[in-house]
Amino acid sequence: MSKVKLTGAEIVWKCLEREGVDTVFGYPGGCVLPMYDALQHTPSIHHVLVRHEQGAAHMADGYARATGKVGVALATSGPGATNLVTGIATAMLDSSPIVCITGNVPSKLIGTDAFQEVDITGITMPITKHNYMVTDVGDIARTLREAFIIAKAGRPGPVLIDITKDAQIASCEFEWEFIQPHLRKLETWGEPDPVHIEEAAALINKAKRPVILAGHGIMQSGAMEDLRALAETSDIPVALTLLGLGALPHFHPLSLGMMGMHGEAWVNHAIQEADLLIALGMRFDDRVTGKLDSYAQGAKKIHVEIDASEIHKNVPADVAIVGDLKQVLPKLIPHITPQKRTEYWAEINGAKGAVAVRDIRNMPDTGHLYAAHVINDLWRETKGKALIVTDVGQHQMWEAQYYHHSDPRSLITSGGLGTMGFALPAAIGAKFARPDADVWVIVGDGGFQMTMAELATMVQEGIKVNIAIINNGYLGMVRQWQEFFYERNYAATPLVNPDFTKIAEAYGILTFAVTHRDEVASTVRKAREHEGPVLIDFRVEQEDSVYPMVPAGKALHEMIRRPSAIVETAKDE
Amino acid sequence: MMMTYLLDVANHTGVVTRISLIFRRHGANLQSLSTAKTEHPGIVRIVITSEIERRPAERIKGQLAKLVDIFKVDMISHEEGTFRAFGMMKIACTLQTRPQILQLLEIFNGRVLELTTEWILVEMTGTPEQLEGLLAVLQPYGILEAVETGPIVIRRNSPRHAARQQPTWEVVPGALATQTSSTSSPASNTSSDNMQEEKRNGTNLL
Repeated sequence: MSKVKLTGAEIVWKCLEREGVDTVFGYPGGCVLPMYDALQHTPSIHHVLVRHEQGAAHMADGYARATGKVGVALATSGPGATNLVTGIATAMLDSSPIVCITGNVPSKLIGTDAFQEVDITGITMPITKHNYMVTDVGDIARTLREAFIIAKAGRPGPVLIDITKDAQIASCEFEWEFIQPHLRKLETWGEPDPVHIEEAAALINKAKRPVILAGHGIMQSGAMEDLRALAETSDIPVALTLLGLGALPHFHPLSLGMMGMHGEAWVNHAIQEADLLIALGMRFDDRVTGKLDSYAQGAKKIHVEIDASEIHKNVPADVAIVGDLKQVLPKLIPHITPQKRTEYWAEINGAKGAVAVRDIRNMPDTGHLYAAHVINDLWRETKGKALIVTDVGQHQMWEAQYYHHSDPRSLITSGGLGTMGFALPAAIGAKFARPDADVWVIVGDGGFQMTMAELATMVQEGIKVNIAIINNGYLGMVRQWQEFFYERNYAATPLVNPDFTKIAEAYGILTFAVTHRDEVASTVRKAREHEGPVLIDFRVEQEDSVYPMVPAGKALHEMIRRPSAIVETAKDE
Repeated sequence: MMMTYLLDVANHTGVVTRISLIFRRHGANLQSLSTAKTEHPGIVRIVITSEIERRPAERIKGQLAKLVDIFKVDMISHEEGTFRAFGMMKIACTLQTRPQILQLLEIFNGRVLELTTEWILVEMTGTPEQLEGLLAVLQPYGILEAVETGPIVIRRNSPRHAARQQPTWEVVPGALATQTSSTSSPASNTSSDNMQEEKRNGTNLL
């Protein structure tokens, strides 16, 4: 069989092509020049020029989260590589499959502090699933194949490949079909143990107050239908983590909504008073459990997780099943006895009704614009069908509370790392992955300024992403903590902002500024009708807070509730 | 609590860094780390001892097991394995004390490597406790220098009495036409497939 001889740079693109990559987010530089030169021979891959490498990593992440496919980012050595770091860590904490490729100085200069040399494999070891340094052209193809396998295997995550410039320039024979990955078996769990399945089923069948805790793993595994079947068979309420929103439609009668620090009171109470927690594809993060010592003390725990190291990590499990939900749940469901939990539900719905009166949406229009109104109106106007990408902070929590997600992968947000500046680039990546989606960025005025340079990327690429800035003139979530726990000492949280509409106009983006509630819906409508990207500056109430809130380190039921002033107004109406 | 980890790892560059990063992340100080070649050229046995509480020790174990370069993670108690460490000590002596020291060495199975009128150089193999014991009895004579390796371990009763698993390289289904390995070896590089494999399994652990 005749083999083609290619340069390392060409091999990179050929491999990406064979891995099914159609879009690469990158930024050129000295040590990736051979790869950029070779790009012309690979018309099937579209390269998106970002404005900062952090944006490239977030775009790859957004691309991956929107579809489940592997996202790819490309950066040069030194600062190019280090700029990826925040994006890689974001993907790591939220189990997002991305492959980052960096160039490095020629192998002879490695370790000499050469210009733009940095030990990026050393730097990224703790924030990648695995990483590689490649100095030999003969290793490039195998490494890329392994990287894609690792990124997707089991619990997904980021992989970084650092390729020296000389390896990109050198040539070797290349035949994709013959490239054999050398990896140990990564998916080690195998079939679920029937004994564990039966134990889990027995616990579920005899539980009086069970709650399902569904996380990101439901989407990662594609087990939405299995989740619904399990819940419906045994009439079990389903609470969702932030990244699990959309795993069960918000208006499904068994859906409780989001749990945890900013979850509604009835959800957290249901968890605290449960006699059985069925944790599916979630990891008992501290934002979900509150103080561990007092977390759901009366409950047995069933934990189904693909990552064995998550089991017993924070919350000890009574029955632990390591495996893929898509394989485990169909084995479990036949053992579940169908039942109706009428009394239990009456109690939960009672608690829900008592809390609903505190809902900020029930407030009369006082002329003030509240973020909750903005998000709720946005939800209504988009009929809940938009792909929302949020940043980090108050608006992120309001979005989770008031945009009622009914579809899986309809919310992309940085949950684990809490990366401000994530939203705009991630939304651009998501739009490339799902060009037909109505993509909306919901972002605070603080986070937007961290990565707003990517507006240029969006305009250069001619894509339509709508941006809703929830502008309260503060780093809102930090301000809220200062209000609650630091005697309103607003240290370094007030922002003097530029006029965002003028900034966006400079990029040729259509802009609106909204200050009253009655303008929200019509402006959203105009934005959706416009062909190009739109930025709306929602100038909202400045000292508004997210309620309820479980203070850090407190038990899940020790919530700060909405202040009585709001409750009273709501009752008046 | 002293924890001993037995790791079977792929002989790849950087693997020790990856492992130690996980311990460091949990604030665990490594008491000892020894790497040893095994009967399989691709696998290195690493034995790590560290003073850690049970819970973080379990977390470390779980996170080690996730490393792509690690085949197997095992934690072992003193009763379950045979531990051996190696120590060398240089002990001050005089003509008067020398016979006493030599007598003690005999009891502890220490071996004299070099002997002068002023000092004795001794080697000893044994459990870490035995090495400590020898050091303690020699203390009064003056220890000029002492070094000790971390222990290496073999499990007394391996769970299934089975030979250690060979590394099974995963083959991606459908992607391969043949079972030939490393067919991508570059033309520019004269090395054979075997040499490619050797390079991957090089001894450059750090």
